[in-house]
Amino acid sequence: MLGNELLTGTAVYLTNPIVADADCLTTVLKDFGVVGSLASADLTTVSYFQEHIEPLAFRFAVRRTSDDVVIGLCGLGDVQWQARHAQLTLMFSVRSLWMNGFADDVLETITRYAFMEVNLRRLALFVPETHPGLSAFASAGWRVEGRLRQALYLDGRFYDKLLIGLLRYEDPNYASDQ
Amino acid sequence: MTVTLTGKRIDLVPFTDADVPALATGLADLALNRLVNPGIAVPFTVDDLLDADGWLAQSRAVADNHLWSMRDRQTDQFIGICALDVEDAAARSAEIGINITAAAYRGRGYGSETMRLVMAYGFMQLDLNRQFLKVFAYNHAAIRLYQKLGFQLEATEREALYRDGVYYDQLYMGLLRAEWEGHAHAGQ
Repeated sequence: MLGNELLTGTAVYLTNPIVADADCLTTVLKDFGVVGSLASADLTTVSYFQEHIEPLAFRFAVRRTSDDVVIGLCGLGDVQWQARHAQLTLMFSVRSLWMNGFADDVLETITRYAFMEVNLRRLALFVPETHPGLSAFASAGWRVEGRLRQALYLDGRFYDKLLIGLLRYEDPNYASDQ
Repeated sequence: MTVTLTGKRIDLVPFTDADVPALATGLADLALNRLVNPGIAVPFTVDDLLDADGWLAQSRAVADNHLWSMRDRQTDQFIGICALDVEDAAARSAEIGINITAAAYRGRGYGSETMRLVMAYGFMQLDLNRQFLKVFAYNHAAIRLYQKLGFQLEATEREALYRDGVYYDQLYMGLLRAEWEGHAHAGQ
């Protein structure tokens, strides 16, 4: 506690994204899978990276502990200090996060940071209804709070967007103070 | 581009800078402010609204966003605003929002008339498939209005708002085109 483990998971660690990450991230993010994404797919240039990623507070590059290779970005967006909540932001390809066993680790690390350091009490996220991470979120205690009907259009048809949310006092790891 | 919409008692005209002082006065009323502003309530000034980084400037900068001033047809008085912002063009989904700043005009059907005009414009002229809104759980009058207009409760952002020592939910309500078409005919 109060050591250097703040942004460190089991197999990943979180650091500031740097310009050198742009190429690797572009490659990662081009592999979206069939789900589509709620984030812009436009991370194809260093200038986009410098304009949209680098200046953001609470935006971290996620690197593998084994070889320091960046696998994606995660962070906290739209922080509402009064109500103490934020949007969880995740920019990963389907393969780099949801199929490689890193999801639980990344979620746990960023959640710990959000609750224990930033002192938030709620995280939320909109995901397509076909998102491959729904069971990972559910295992981590996230609840489906609603369904925005036909809010997405992909591959010729409408999909719903799910709102999922995590409240600190529902998570036994963090419930000790509100 | 925002066009003028004409109702029985209300004109909806494109919002201009000339309306900023009246809007600022309305939003400086913290009771109203706390019904529509999810963040910290601060008495609004004209400068706040004209701020290039503020929500008004940011909103007006988006080409697909519509912002109307509500005007009493008889007196031409500014009584509030209504907005329709396309949130996802591919899904043809837009967020609608209304804010009656003149207290004397609330609870008298002006909100309903305005919403119906804008909803019809959105579905019939912009060919939207979906309109949705966000409303605070403690804004009972607004929730009743939206239910009457056919909006369905879709999501509950639990404890997303903090007011007077209590956390409140923010609700998402949505209306699909097919539902509106059925509802609109039923209401005639």
